[in-house]
Amino acid sequence: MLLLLLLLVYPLGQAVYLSLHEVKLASLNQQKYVGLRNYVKIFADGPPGFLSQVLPATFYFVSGSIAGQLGFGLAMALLVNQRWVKGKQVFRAIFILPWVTSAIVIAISWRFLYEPRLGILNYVLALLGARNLPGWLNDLGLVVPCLIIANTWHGTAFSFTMQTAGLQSIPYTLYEAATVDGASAGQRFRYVTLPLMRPFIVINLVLVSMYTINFFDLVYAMTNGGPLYRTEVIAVLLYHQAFEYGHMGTGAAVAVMILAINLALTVLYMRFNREQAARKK
Amino acid sequence: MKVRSSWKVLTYFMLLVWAVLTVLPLYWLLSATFKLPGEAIGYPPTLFPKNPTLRNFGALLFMSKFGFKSYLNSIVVATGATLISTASAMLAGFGFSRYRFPLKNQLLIFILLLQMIPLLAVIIPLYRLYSLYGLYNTRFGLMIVYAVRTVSMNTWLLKGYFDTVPVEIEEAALIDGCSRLQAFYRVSFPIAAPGVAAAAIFAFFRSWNEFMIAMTLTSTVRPYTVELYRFLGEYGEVNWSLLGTASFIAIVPVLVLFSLFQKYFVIGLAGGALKE
Repeated sequence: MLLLLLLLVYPLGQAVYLSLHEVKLASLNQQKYVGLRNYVKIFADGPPGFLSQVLPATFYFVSGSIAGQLGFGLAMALLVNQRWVKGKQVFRAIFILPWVTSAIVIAISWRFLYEPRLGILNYVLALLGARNLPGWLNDLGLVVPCLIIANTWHGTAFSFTMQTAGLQSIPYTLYEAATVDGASAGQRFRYVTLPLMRPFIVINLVLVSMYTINFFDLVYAMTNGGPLYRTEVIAVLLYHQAFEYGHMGTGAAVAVMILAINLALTVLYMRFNREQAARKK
Repeated sequence: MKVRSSWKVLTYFMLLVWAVLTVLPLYWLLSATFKLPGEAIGYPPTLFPKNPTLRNFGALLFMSKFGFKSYLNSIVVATGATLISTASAMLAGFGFSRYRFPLKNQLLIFILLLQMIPLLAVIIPLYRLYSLYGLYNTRFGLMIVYAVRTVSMNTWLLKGYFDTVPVEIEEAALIDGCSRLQAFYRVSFPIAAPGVAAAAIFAFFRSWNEFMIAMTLTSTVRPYTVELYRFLGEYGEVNWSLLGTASFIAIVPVLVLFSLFQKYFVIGLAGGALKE
């Protein structure tokens, strides 16, 4: 508990404190109070422009990943959890593999696939007769979709697991009752599955957005923000500011903004949780 | 309910497609482990190694600059973090489940809130703290961050488990002459063992795969994730078989371990994600 406080709460206060100071990586112990100048710097300085590049990139990456992960996760959970499906355990074990693999290994394996000259993707495209082979991660327009695909591949397992837990909480008798009442498969999904799954979907949504906004490893190892800052998401910006340019204060200001986003999402999550608990009573 | 057989076929087909898509990217990289460098990137690509070889392991060990010690670092850090995290979560979870004390619920919510703090937001102050107090670039330093990172989730998980252990059993043990501690580890602990396993596995995976903190807070005492990243920058685009081999060593033992304990891991994941 003490350790928790020391390593999480104290740094949290420090982050806010440092964000108001100018701190250089080389001289960690000297801080100069600069007020809100660090925040102004984030918005005013560039490239990458915060409003014109970092936020759009973050939004693009995060929303794409959420849609992909939640969509596929839910779809696969629905498919696997049909009663008559055999080999459920095997499917589950396979589907969860990307989630337990280190983001670095994931980054390496996707870079290998995307590699323009040697990668398997372009090889297959060439076999199919494509002429202008895309540069994938080097292509300004394709790089974010490429990251979204890799991240969806990685994160779907989490949504899949959560949705599976949700589906398993629905008693089978409800479906039998609905069938007796003459509901078609579509109606059963619309009037039984969907309403009961709503809390799981919403919680999943909040958790995945938090996770993706804070997800640093994959983007950093796959593109490091490039090309031309196209993938400079807010997490990578923080790292660059603090540890590559050595502006710890500016980095801390970015951290505070990330924290604010997380806080908003947490409040959302808690409120929803409480609503659920209240409804159960 | 009747299910049309065409739908059944379609379901299995889609599941199979997703399974293949799940395995393929990893398989492609890991299969390079057993190919000669020329074959790994050669045309036409081969799905299975033509002449399976173990040469890459030797090459990685003796001829490249890959730091094998990083695996050892990872093992030490992840194991240590797992022990610290699981042990403290066990005690805290048991305490929360058994005793009544003021502010208990507030404290539980507070622990949950701590879990929601992104590490990204505290990484700069942590870096400063670690540099100033000599924890920078030490295994112990990484170990305690990872332990802290997983302990709140595990506390919730284990509290839930201990809640399911009836107090009566413990009381019976107390009457039979067990001490409080004996009652805990002879009676409650075995019943909650699946939960403890789930907590331990969860902590281990999180610590084993972590990259950002490790990269920030170490320079020479690197865990394998950071070493792999460095290796990727140095040799990566050139020698994919060596990169595959290094990844292979890092993840295959863990994947095997994981598939053995998959059930517990899923319990941990689902249980931790849905704290209600």
